[in-house]
Amino acid sequence: MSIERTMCIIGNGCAAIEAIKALRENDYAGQIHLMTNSIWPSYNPMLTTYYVAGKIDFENLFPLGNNMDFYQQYDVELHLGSPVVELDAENKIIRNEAGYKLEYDKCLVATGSSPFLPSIEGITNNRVYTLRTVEDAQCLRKALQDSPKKALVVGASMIGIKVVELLYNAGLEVCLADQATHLFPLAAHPECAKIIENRLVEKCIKLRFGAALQGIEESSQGLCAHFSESDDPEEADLIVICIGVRPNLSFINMDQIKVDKGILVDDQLRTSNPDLFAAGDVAQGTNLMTGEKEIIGLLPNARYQGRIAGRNMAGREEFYRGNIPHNITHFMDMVFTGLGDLRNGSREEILRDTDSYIHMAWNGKHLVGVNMLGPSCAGIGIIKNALEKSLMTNTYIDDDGLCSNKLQANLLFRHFSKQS
Amino acid sequence: MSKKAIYFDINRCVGCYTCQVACKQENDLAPHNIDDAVEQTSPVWRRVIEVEKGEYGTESINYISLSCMHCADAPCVIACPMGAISKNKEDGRVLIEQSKCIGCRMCLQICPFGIPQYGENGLMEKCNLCLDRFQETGKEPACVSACPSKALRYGEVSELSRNEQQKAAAKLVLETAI
Amino acid sequence: MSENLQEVQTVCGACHNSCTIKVILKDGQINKIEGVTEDPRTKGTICSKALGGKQLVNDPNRLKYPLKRVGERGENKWERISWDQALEEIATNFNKVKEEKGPRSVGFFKGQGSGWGFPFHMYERLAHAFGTEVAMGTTECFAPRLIGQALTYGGMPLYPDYENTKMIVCWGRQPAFSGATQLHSIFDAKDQGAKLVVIDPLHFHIATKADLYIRIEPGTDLALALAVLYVIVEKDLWDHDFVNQYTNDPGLDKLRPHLFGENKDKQAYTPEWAEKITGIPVNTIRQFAEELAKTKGVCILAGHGLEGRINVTQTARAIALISLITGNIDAPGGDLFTNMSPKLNSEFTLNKLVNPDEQYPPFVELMNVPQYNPPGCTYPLLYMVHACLPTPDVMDQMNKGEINAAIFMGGNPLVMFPNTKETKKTLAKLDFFAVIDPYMSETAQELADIVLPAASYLEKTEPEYFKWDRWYPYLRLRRKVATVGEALPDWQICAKLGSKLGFEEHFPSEDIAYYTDLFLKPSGITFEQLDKADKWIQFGDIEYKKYEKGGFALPGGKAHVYSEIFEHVGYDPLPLYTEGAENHRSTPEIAKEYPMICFTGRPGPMYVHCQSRTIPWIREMRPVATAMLNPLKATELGLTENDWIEVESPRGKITIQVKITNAIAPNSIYIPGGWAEANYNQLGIADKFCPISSQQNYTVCLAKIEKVQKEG
Repeated sequence: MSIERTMCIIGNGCAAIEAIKALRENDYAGQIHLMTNSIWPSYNPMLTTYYVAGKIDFENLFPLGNNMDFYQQYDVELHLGSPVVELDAENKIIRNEAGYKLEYDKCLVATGSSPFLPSIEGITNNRVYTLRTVEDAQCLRKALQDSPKKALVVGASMIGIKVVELLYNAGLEVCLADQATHLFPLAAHPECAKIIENRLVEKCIKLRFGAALQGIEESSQGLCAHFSESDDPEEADLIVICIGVRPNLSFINMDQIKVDKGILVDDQLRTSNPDLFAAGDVAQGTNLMTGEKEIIGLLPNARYQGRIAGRNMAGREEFYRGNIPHNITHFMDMVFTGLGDLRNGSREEILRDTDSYIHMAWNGKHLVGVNMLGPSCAGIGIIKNALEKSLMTNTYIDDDGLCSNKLQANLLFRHFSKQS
Repeated sequence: MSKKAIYFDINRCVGCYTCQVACKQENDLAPHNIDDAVEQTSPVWRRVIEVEKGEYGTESINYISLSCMHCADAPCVIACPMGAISKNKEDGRVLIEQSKCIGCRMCLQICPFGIPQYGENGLMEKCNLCLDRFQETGKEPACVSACPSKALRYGEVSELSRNEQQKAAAKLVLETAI
Repeated sequence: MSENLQEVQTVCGACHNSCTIKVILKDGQINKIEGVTEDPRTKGTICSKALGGKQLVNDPNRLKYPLKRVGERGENKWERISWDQALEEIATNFNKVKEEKGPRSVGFFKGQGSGWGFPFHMYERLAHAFGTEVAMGTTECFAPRLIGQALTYGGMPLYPDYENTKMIVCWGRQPAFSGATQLHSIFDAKDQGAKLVVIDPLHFHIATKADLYIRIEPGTDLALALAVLYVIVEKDLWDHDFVNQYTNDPGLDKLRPHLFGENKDKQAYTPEWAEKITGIPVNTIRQFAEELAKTKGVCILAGHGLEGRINVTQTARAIALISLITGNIDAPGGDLFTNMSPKLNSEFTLNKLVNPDEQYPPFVELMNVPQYNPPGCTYPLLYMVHACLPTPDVMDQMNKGEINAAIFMGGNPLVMFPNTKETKKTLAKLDFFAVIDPYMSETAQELADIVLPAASYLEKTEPEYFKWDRWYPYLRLRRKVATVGEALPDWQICAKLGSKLGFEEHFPSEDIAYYTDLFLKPSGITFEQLDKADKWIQFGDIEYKKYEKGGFALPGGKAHVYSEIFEHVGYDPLPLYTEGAENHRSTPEIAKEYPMICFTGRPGPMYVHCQSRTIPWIREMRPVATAMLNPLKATELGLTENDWIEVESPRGKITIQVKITNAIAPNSIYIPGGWAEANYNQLGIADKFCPISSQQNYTVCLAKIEKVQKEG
């Protein structure tokens, strides 16, 4: 390219980094500007729980290192501490909080998401924590050093359970509350959730379900949280809110760009504007199982989206057809993994053991959902990939092969039998 | 050094399980006691899998010796939040640096071959194409040396391809020869 | 190689393929076991069994010192004693019986575990010095094939000419389980255009790679073999030149009418007749027979899968005849004779002490047999080729109180013999019983008075020439690379016991070099030479058609299509069809209640018989016994994978989990052998024998199955 071009990337997470790599590896030689509200090198939000738990050091929060080497190596002009407040997609200009303007040829929005906080009284108390950013992690870790006794975690989500685990391991008395009727309300079948809940109860972790948080007040002991399902408030020295995240897109002009829950993108990660791309937790790509657009806010999805967006921005035509909802988490000697949505099935099969649970749901011959809970969940990647491939090629996986009972017999029975 | 790979010839594998235990011996993997063995909870880096298809009378059974495929574009590298897994650009090995592993299981959910397994220490472990063995003795991976069918072969990718093409051509000649 | 690493070449003993291996020691401890690249048979490969070696040596279950029973038999209470004391007790007991009733009232029994080469001959030396003969072992194993082949063409051509073959037939042979280190040769042959034919009731492992897979009803191989002979003769596809010149049935004038119906049963062995028995379509039988006969260079690997039936020796004879009349014996691409050992000292086994009239030949090669029939021997052909007292005779003698003391070397009859209950009753009649084993086997635990710890193949030094699956003419040294407690090699136990029994002149030493030198004397090879040899000592060459110069090693110098020896002893000189002991045709009444064909065989690639169940790396691959059952049958019974079933035969019942697979036919069930907890031998038949070899009908019977609930 002889004409000097400018690529702009908003955000500094995993999607952004992959996009940068993809741009340079596909012979894009022009300018790359990265603008982010963060002051840190790229980090991964899912590592915050490990840092707070003391399982990794501060330096490990940054996969590329706690330094700017990557940006130098890839020749990126970095604008840290620079939140973008306006994006004019028609004129291709972004503006940051300080008023600085940047014109771009193509732009990638990879601003991720932020924890959702209900607007209730007491939510801004400084002993109410979230866990997403480096700052969040530093705060919570510091709070634990003050030897709190009791903790309340609001939100029985994937993050919530990791927070419960780290607090429990730190010796605190823990209560986990959620508005839903069971743990992992989006990912787990109630029966599967029950097994996990029983485990938590065995460890004397208190559970409150159907409990919507209504307010937080200071008390003589510390904090006092009020819930909808009972008059008994919950006392705690600290409260961690883990009830989900919302994509960071306040700066997007919704008259210009189609937004649903996140920024809608096509198979090439393009938004409704041809020169604007989105990737990561802020983007709403295709859920291969439903065919609908859905945010799948997971690390590998963010990276693949960032990479494909970058390649398209570099002028190379490439497609990322989508992903399927999936989750995996390892906590308290258990591994839970979910694929798709068990509620969409017309036929289901459940296998249970003293410490394992497998639940699969089909719609006709299509596998639509999987829950696995056990000491290992070995082989889940095989199912996920088989499922994705079948969805991408529009074939169902028939009885002779993969995501049917035969797969169960071949793969999953390893959990229940003594055969390899 | 160009990329080397293991070529698995499914037409030669008859499920003798030698590769599975050759790997155990080479890497001194668990289990080391009989209770663990019976529970089958130890990671198996190379596993022989029987795949059966078809109805009675037209049944087909194949044996696969499956280990980490050291993928060209390894999904586990993408999935690891710690950057603990990397693909060596020179020899092609996909290696895990256990000191960086946090046992988060992300790689478990993304690997199309179900390879990641977690040892007693909770960290991911898998085939490393006998890196130590190579560095100490220059030998090919233990499974390859051991395989009595010579269904597992190791070498430079281009050479392996060429060998297979030659064999296929020779077979074609045999089958069409008068 | 760094300072603390040492490489020692030795010979594996996990099975009788006796592959050359090298053991890499680190700081004197076994670190790795690998193949030897230069080995002409293995080409550097190894199998899953050998790779358990490191854990075998470190297995906490290994017996480390001699034990004497305290308490009752079966209480499993033992006290440690010294070797001296143990052997003293055995010698005292044995000599007492000898004095009262004669040496033949003491049994020297043997299993597979200690090997068939040098250790067997040491045991023979001991038994013969004592005044009796070794019993058991080969009767359960290859004796029928030995008889059938040896009496057809004067030996066992155990060297398949893979490099030049055009067809390999695996008949009752599973190379994935046995002799896996030959697999590469088989596939190389395939790459060069050889056709692979596999005849097996189970469509798995090697059978899945066959160019022609023939599913056969278990136990009916004789019918197939006879029909194949029929077709070959009917279509005149046999090798005229060879048969006319080198066999005792030129023109096949005797075989032809026999096959065509002029036999005792007036049965023509047509493919149509065979189809009804074997379940193999007529066209397949014809296709196979014709292709085999028209192929120049056919290897027939006749395996142990053929054995354990009352018609086993006839089967071995019939298959031998297929190779013979098609001109494949000792021919390029066929099965070759090779020198089986260097020239061995014919006096080593002291045959004169049991047969004073024995004229020692200048040397022997393999199985030095006293040339007579021992008193009361009901299986003369078995004795003639293998010098093992037949198991049924010996069991009978124990039952009648004619054998009162015994020692058992390297075997576990309580798990491996048919009819476990009866076996136990019989052996329990012994007043004194000693067992030599690396482990506290079921037999030792339930029945022994003295248990002697045996060294495994990694813990002993001895010459090894016995190598069943591809008999390349080389002699190697098995070298000790580890020590487990006070465990001793079988040969040394023989020497010690021999000395204790008073036979110092025959056992003056405990030096392996002494016995090796004596054993190998006519060959001129010494222990020192063997030890210092670069890799091994070759004692023969691969040559084709040796019969052109030397004929066949049988009376008359020709191969016996018509077995003059069978005739002489009183058996049919041509292979006669005998129906199986228990199946839908021979016992239709039993079949009404027990409709499933229930058969057994090897437990898989990683196990030999009942061995290796305590080796973690091995056990992990297959931790429990599972019976193979067809999905159609499974559905009928409402079974899913790993459910429990009860399998019952007229003799007993067992419970076992199922593996559901189309590898097996719907009318059959396969119970893997060697699992004490799901023991086929509680179902099988012990009281019906092959009349020629004495081998019990222990591999096929009828059974019924039903689903049961069981706590996993």
